[in-house]
Amino acid sequence: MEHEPTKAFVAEITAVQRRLHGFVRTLVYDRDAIDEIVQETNVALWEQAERFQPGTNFAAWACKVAWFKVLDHRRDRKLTRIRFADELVETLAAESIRVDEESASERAALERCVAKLSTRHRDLLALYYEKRLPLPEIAATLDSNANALGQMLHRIRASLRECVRRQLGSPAS
Amino acid sequence: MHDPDLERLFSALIDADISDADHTRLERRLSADPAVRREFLSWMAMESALEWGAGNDSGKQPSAPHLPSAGTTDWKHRHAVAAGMAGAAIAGVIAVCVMMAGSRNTSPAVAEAARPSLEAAPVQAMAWMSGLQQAHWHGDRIWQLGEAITTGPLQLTAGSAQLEFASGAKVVLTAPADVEVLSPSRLFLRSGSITPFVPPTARGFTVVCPSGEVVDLGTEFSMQVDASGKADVYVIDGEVDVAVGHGPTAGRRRLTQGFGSSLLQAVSHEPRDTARPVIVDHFDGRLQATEGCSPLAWSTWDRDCAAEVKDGSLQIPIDGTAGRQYPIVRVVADHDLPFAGNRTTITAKITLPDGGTAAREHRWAGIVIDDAAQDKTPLAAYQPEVALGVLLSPNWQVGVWGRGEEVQKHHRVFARDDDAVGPYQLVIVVDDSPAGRKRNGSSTASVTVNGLEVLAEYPLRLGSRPRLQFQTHTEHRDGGRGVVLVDDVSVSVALNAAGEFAVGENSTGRNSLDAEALMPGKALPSAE
Repeated sequence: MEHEPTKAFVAEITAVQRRLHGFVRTLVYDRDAIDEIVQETNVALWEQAERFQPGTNFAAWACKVAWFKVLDHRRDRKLTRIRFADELVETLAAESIRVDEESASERAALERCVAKLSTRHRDLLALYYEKRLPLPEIAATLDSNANALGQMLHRIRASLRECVRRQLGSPAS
Repeated sequence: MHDPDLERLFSALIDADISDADHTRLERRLSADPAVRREFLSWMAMESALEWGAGNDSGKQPSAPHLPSAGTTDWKHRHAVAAGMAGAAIAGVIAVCVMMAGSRNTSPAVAEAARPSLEAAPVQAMAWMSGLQQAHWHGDRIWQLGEAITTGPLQLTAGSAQLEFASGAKVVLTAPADVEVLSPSRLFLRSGSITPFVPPTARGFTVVCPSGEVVDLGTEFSMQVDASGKADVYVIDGEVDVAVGHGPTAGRRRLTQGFGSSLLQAVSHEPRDTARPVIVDHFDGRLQATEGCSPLAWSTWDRDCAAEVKDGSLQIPIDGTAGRQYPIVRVVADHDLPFAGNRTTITAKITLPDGGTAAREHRWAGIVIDDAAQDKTPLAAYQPEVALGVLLSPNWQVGVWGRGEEVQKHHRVFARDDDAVGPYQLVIVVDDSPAGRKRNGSSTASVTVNGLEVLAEYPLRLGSRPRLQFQTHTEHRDGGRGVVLVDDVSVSVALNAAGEFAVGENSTGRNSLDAEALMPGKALPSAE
């Protein structure tokens, strides 16, 4: 049995990162925690690399591993205020796994919709998502206040969502 | 579906700027309506896409994930881990220094450190030397701090040393110690004493000793193997799985804090690669010449009498029950106790199965006192004949069943946000003494859970063979609601190595154990 991870495995783990992130994002709402959990999942996947069988559903397996890491995280941080009931989290996890792989068309639609945003809105997105600055800091940069930016962010999201829906011609599911 | 109120809740959740009331509202809506959940998932998918740079010009591509240790910012550590990765990578395909796209906060120092590892491409480093104190090694080997450890024996003749594994586990060696690193998460302890410390990220770290295996579940424990291969394990904190023998069928036992064990009969002094364990609790029974079953007997819901004791260990068959909508897993142990004429305090520490997929409100563990004197009686929840059953669930519910009553009482002991899985300290005081019976009119039992009185003076009718049982009951949901994602079933009930459950005071009865008896270095008393 091979002890070194195969090319196939490497390719799979690379390809699954987005999916992993999306999966964990559904269940955990703190950005740092999400990163941590995805990292821990990767560690676990690497450790079990020799169990991987090409042709099997890697994403499902990876999400399964991530699910356990999410549970560990939830157990270790029981006092988080923002915390859904166990049963809901289980349901969300199950439904998240069953949803199709992130559709390329949704992503493409999202990119087009983002391109339609005003410069100021795109700046906000860049500072918030790419540079990962907290809102108060962005507020200083953009000469605004955190509250107003929070509202703006929400409106951006809502309009992006609406735009994607229209682009795809039906409510995305 | 377009629901601005809902979208506002989603945003608030993402930005961690959500009031308690809104949080509750959102939770309720999500729980109730699959369409709301679908929208939630789409919204989160969009959020995830935005985080992956759907909106920015560089349009990030996901890259091969670097293997950092979660949470650490120690560049030296990352360097060492990166070094380990280099050994595992396909030549030329993986660039170990490529950072995972999500970890954008890496400092330049880390990127710097990662690059040299590409050129260095050292031999696989599964672990490295992270602490040395007046350490002397066999053959006058000199180890440097930070030096990578590969396969081969590691023999500490004096002082102490700390090994740090790529999995995150740390192991302290105290001379004399003879170990061998088998993998980033497996260590062979040939002889000597070690104290591993296993953080949650390194869960599953295994110590293999000649007589068996110890799988660590995030805990600190001490282990000692003597010259004959016999190992002593004392759990300092947390839980440990202990297996006797090797391989998936090895007798396996879970120890919790305060309990120790002796693994006997070294099978081999050479390390063997064992299959990843299926975590099923096997309890060691003590063979005693009684008619019928041994004193520590196991029975299951739909099966006949207890499994036989083989080679000093009993198997607990755990499987779903065919034909049920909700397969039920049940583990039951019988144990005779001389209640009659005595006032007895039974203290047990119960840890409920952790994580996994079973819907929490359907997991129970507890003690049942039953005077049915029948080996094959199914228990508690399904048989009102039971004299007294006290079961606990992770959400602090106490279920009490009583003889002669159809009523099953469920008490909520307390409601807590930190939804503890355990351990629970369950104390049952059974009073069948003449004085007690005179005072109360009958034999009684009272129950406290973690010091909180749940039940006071429940009348009992104790027969000539009152029996104490542990029961663990797990339901797995399949299809429909809930998620079945688990391959293994993990059940944990705290018993000591002699199959006895009492920790602390027990005024009478042959099953009493002093806390002292569980101190490291002392042999456990025999059952008699």
